[in-house]
Amino acid sequence: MSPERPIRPVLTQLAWGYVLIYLNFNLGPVDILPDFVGWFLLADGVGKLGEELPSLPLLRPLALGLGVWALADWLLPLEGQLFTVPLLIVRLVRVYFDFQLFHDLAGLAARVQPPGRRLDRSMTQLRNTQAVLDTLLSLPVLYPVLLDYSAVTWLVLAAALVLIVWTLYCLFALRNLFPADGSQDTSAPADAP
Amino acid sequence: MHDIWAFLYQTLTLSLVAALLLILKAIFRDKLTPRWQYGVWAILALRAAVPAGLSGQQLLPLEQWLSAARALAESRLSSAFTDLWGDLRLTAPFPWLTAAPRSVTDWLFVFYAAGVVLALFWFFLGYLRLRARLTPAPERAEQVARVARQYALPLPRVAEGEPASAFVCAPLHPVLVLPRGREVDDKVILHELLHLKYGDLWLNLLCCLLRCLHWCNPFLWMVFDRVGNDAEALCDQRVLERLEGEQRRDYGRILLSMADDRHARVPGTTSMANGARRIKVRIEAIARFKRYPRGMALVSLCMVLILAPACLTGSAWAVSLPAVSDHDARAQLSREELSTVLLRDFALARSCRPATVAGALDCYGKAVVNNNAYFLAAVSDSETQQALYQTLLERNDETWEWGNYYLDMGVFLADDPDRTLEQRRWLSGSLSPYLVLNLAETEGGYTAAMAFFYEYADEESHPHVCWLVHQVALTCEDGGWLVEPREVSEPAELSDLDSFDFAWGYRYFSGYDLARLDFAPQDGLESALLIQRISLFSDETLHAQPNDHSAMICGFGNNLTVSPDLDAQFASSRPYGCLEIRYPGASADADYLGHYEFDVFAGERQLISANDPTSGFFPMPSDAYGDGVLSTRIAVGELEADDGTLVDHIQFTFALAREDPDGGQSPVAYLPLHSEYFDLGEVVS
Repeated sequence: MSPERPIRPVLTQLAWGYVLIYLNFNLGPVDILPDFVGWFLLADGVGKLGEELPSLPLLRPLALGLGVWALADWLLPLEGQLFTVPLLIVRLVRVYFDFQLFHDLAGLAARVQPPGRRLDRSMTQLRNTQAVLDTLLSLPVLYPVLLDYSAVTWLVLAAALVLIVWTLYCLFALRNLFPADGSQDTSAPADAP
Repeated sequence: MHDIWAFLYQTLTLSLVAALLLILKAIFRDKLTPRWQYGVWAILALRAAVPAGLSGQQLLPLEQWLSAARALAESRLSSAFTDLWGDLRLTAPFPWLTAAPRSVTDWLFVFYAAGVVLALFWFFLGYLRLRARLTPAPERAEQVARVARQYALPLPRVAEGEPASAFVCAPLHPVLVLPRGREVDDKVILHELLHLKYGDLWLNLLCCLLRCLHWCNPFLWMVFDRVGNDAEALCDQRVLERLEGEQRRDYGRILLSMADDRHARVPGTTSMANGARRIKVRIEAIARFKRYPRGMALVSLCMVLILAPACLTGSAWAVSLPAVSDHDARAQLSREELSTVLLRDFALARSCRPATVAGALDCYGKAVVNNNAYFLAAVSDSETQQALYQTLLERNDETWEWGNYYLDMGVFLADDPDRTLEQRRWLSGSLSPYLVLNLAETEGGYTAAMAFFYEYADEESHPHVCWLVHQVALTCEDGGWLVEPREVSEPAELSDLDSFDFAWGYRYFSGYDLARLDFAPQDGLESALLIQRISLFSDETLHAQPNDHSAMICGFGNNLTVSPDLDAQFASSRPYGCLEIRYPGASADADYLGHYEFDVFAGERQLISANDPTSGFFPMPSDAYGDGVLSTRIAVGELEADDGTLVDHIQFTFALAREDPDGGQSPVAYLPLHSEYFDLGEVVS
């Protein structure tokens, strides 16, 4: 990343994008922290990180697509079984997006973190945990378990909450590895670990 | 598949899954590796092997749409293959002729089946022709053996042939065919040996078989071409993983040189050359070789795990039962138009078979309550549906409402030749929700008694309330439950509407008891505890509060929804009791009064305590007397505590008095307060 294009603000943008996606604040039927704004922030952010992480811009069209879907859902709720197939596609895109984003960010963390700090490992674990949890929640065979056992439902909700907090922690922690004046040299091989 | 509709169901289901996979592959074209791009086609292969609709679920409601189309098309035909009143179900993913064709659709299916056979024959002939032109080439085997040794790959037999590019064939006894008179680079041989190692010949054979089964679906042919292309792309990837530096560029040049080579598309073969356009795409992929994001194996697997259930089993597509159109609109239809509407809607109703016993009973109960033909069709076998259809078709005139079909069919009211048509019309009152009594599992399914209260007004607008019971049997067919009425009681009219209370309505259904526990008579009074098992959709719908007869909200059946809940479940299925008091020495001319108190216990725990709400004597209703016996039933309530403990004794007293002409009361008989013990364990199990 060049001094003319500091990386810290971009990471801030990514972090706030996820804040908007995870947090909802409804005034009546309207979410005033709309998800689509978060996705467009992510789309813009991953594009700006292309120089640093060459495979990241591959995610830009996915983020844009998710943003358009979120916008459509925000304007007119996309409910009903007619949306079964589109929702499946959206879920798959989302799983891939989160995984690859944190995969690449973990690689960036590995390059810039101080010795002894294991932020890259934390992000890799977050990446894997998120993917596995999303997959488990998508398996129809588990639906009766979720419906019949409220304890399992509470466990899942707790896990989701932990993941949200963990995600935001990792993003802001990665951002904080970069000084505000953009002076850090992050040049390194482009391949992720 | 035994008719054209089953084939359409299968091929459209497969096409839908293929389309979804193509969309996903386009989205992840440059993000997921060729291994994922090729491996995800395994979902399509599994889907092709499974008959459509087997899971009862689907990505889109294809079954419903095709059922309606089938009904419309076949209504004018006399197909030998299609059961118009049967479900659209497949037992196998390949065609099977069951009779001689009669209708246009039958011949279409025969044409399709013939096409399958011809396509199989054509491919087989092509393969035989290809093999016939091969000649053994032992002198070239050394080069092949060297490559196989170098990369630890299986060693096939070697032959020469006319095609300009190398290929492998014969999955059982593999043969590597090299172009006659042309030198072949080691990398080409490596490519073909990798096809052999990873079983691509079998995949090609499967694709050919599927092409035959879906020979008239051009979309699937395009998809199978794509599968082959992805197999080649993955093989390129595998070759590049085994080569270094300049060797990779050489490989790209070799591919480029094959752009104009023709390739043999026959079953059980693979070919490195697959067309100029595909060669270009493959070379671009080679250039991109190192740029696929690495470390993505977990997410690739997760995506397949999410995708596979949806593609293989779909999702439960909730289809609403069709609405019965208004009478005026129906009356305008010609017979033919009405027939079309009915067949279409009955097909939709059939596709809404309840998935649960409770759902089936709810559907049947609301069919009776609402006189709804479609509700009834959803739980009826094909014979009953046809009878319903004929009745509705015959009786669609201005003087006959849809609802009255039920009276006419004698299911609602027992056929009474003394009742005129006019009287029956007057009986078109309103039904309260229903009650499910004594649901019991049998060898073939379940039985139950469904009890209804029926209110109507006579010619002088006097209100009447009757009750009647349908004894039904439930059977499961193809994952959906059917309800067959076995016996329908005559309506029994209540004489005393003032004392009628839905809350304790179950006490009226005498003769439909699960068990009867007779107690020793005293002072001429006979007593017994009558037990019924009542299944409720919600525990809120029936209360048994001490001395609180108005606590019940609606009391019966499933008042939670207007339309049937096809996936309903019972919230509880518990024993309820009535205390029956009989006095055989009663006089028909006297007016009798009664008084009772009772307490119900489960061990030491008192569950219910109640007495006559008037706190004195209540008049016995006029229908309490019959055949010289005065009889009354007092609702006791639930005989099971919330923790499952069963009631084991009841303490009660009953006093019978006669009303004197001067307004006084004379005692007639008296049951002093005493306890009766019993064991309900075997009764309610």
